[in-house]
Amino acid sequence: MPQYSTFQPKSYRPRMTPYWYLERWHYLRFMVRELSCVFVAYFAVVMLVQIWAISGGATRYAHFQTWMHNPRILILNAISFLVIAFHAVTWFALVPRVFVRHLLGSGIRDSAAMIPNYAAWFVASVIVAAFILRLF
Amino acid sequence: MTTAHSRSHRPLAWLLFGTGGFLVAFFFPIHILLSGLLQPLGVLPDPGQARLLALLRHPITRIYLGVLLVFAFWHAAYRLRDTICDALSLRQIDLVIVWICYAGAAVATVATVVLLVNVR
Repeated sequence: MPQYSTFQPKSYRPRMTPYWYLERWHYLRFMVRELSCVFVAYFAVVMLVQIWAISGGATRYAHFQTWMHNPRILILNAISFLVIAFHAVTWFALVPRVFVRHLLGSGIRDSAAMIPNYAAWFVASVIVAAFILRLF
Repeated sequence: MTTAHSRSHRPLAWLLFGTGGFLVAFFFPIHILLSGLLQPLGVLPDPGQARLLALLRHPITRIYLGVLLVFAFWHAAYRLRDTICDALSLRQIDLVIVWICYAGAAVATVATVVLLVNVR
């Protein structure tokens, strides 16, 4: 059987530049949320170092605290906080669309499903803060 | 017959990613706010090494930190793989990036467990 190839249709593959996420705000927002992983990894390592410093004695902990007072580290921590808080907000917005529909078989209003998330976030934060600040 | 779909690592990886995303969303902001910003800036007092060590010695604290950090590392690895592929258009070397990201998460998991088990 002869093979027809002169005008063989090819699959459509749109060309994307490496900076495609700068074209629209929605794309950029998606990329910022994706980039939160870098800051998650960074602060998870900071927490590991903090555990290592606490268990290593007063001198090692003092060095850790000096390092945390560095303005560059403070700026990095501030950016990490903002980006990870953005991750949290988008994660809480995702739950009503997926989890509630999966559990209940039908959707409820996004706000009604998000409010328990924010309440749980607040309670969890207060409990962690109370333990870290040794209020208990 | 084993299909390509059944061999996919994605369901297990997504479970780690999803659980990590949930834990990071709930608990990381308060840790960064306290340990990374408010205490270094002097807004809140530093409890001190001795009191934090007493808290760290409690088994529940170590389980909490272990679960939080291990899932956070796997969450970050999963998302970092897709971010590198999407942002830098490197999907053609996806397999290499998967191995680098997940190897990093595995090393971090071992480091977390070793560190928390050896708290004295």
